[in-house]
Amino acid sequence: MHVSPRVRWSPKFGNAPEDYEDASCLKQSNRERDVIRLAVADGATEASFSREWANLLVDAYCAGQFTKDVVSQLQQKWLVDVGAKSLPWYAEEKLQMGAYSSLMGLTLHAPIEGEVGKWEALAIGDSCLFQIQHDKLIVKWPLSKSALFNNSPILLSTKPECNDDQDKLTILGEWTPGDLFFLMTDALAQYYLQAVEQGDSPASVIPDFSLQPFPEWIADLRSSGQIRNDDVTLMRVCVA
Amino acid sequence: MSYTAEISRANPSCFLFVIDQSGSMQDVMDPTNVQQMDAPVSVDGRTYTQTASGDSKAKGLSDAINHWLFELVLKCTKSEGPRDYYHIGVIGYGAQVGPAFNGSLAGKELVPISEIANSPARMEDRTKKVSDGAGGLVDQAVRFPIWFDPLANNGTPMCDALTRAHSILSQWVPQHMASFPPTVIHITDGESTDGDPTSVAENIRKLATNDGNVLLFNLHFSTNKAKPISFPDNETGLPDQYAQMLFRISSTLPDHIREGAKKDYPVTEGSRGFAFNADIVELIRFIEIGTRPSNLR
Repeated sequence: MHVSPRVRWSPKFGNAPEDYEDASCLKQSNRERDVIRLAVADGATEASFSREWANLLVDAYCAGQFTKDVVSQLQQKWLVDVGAKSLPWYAEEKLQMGAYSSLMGLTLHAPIEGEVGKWEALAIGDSCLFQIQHDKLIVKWPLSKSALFNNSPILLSTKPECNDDQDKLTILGEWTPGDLFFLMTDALAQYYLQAVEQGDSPASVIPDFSLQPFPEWIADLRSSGQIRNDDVTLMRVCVA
Repeated sequence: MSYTAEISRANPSCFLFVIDQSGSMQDVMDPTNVQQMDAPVSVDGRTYTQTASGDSKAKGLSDAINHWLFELVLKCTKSEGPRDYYHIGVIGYGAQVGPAFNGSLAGKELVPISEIANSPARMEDRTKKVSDGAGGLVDQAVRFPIWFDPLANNGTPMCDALTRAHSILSQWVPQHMASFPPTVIHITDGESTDGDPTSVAENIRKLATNDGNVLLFNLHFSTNKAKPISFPDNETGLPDQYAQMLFRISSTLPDHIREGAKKDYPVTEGSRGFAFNADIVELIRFIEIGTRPSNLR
C-alpha cells in the first residue's frame, strides 16, 4: 500500500500561527507494516489548552491506542501537563472547565491477497471524512450535509463526566487504488459539502496547491464569505 | 451599521459601566428582620425610621459587577492568558464622579481585560458546588477576585457621570472605528440631582463606529415595589417618571441581543435596553445577554 499524504492548515484570520488549535497526525505502524493511521482534531475555541488536548488525541489514535482506558490516561496526562506550574486565578478556573476537541481518525489496511483494501474510521464531533472514487463522493461522514453543522458539536472532554461513550462513532469501508480521502476540520468540511451540493466536482473542490498556496486560497474563501473564520486543517491522502 | 463586527484583539470592543453610588444605594434590597427605630435618623438628606437585615443595593451591585468581570475574564482567557477582546471601565457617581475600580486599577478609566485579570484589588476565598464525577455535588474552595467594592453616599449627579462617559468614549471610538461599538451599562436607583440627562444620553448614543452606534443600557433599581420589567417596547406601564425617563434614553435592542433575549423575554423590534427592578440574577443575565455578541473570535 502506498499513500501520498498532504497536510495543510491555517489559523483563523486575526490569530497568529501559535494560536492555531487544530491538530493532525499520520503514522505508518512499525509493527503492522500494512496499516496507516491518520487523524485530525479541532480543539474548542472557548476552552484553554485545547491544542494540547487535540494533539494528545491525534497522537493516541495514530499510535493505534484509542481505547476507553487510554482516553482516561490522556485525560490525566493533560491535567498533569497543563497544571504542572503555578497558574494565575483565571488559568486555574479555566483548567477546571476542561478542554474539548473533536477527533476524526482513519485507519487504512493494505489489501490482503485477492481482496480489496479495507478502512475503518472513528469520529467524535464535527471533523469529517470524505472518500472519492472515480470523481464520486462515496463517503461523507459523520455529517453528510452542509446544513448539519452548528456551533455546539459534541466534543471529547478532558473531564470524564462530560463524555458519553455513545458519542464515539465508527464506520467501516473499502478502498480501491486511486481513491482519494480527505479529513477536514469543520469549517472546511462545511464549505466542501456546500460546494458539492452546488454541483462542483468532488475531486476538484480542493485545488492542487501548486499554483496557489493553501493559506491564500483559504484567505480568498474567507474574504468572499464562503467559509467561516475558524482554524482550518486539511489532510489529503491518495491511496494506491 | 449592523452590529456584526467580529470582536478580536485587533478590533476590541468596550464596556463602560456607569454606577450610581448615591446615598440611597445603602437601602437593603430584600429586607428581613425589619424593626422600627426609637427615633428617625437622617443620612444624606434622607430620613430613616426602620432598621433591616440584608444586602444593600450597593452590595448587590458590586457583587454583580465583580461576577460579570470574573465571567468575562474567563471567556477571554486562552492557554497563553487573557486576550484583549475588551476594554472595560467603571465610572461611579455619588459623592464624586470618576473611575470606581479599587486596588491598583484605581483612577483608570478604560482598562484592557488582561489588565483587569491581573489586577484584582484582592482575592476572597469562597466555595462553589462542583460535580464529584459520580452524579453528586461537592463544595470546592475557590479564589474569587474583587475589583470593585460597594460605595453609597451623597447625591445623584447623573448628568455629570454620563458626560464623563461621553468624554471617555469620544476618545475611544475614533481609535476603534472597525470595532463592535461600545456598550454603556448605566445602573441607578433614582432621580438625577443635577438635571435632565436626556441630551447627554443622546450624545452618547450618537457616537458610532463603522459597525453601529454606541449602545446605552439602563438598569433601574427602585424602592417602588412594582413588578420587575425587562426590555419593554413602550413606557406605558412603567411605574414612575424616572423609569420612563430611563426607558426613553435607552438604545433599541440590536438584532443579535434581541435574538439572544427572545428565549426568556417577550421582546419585540421596539424593545429597549432597559430593565426595572430586575433582581440581581436577572440583572447579571441582562448584562451578559447585552454584552455577548455571538461572533466573538
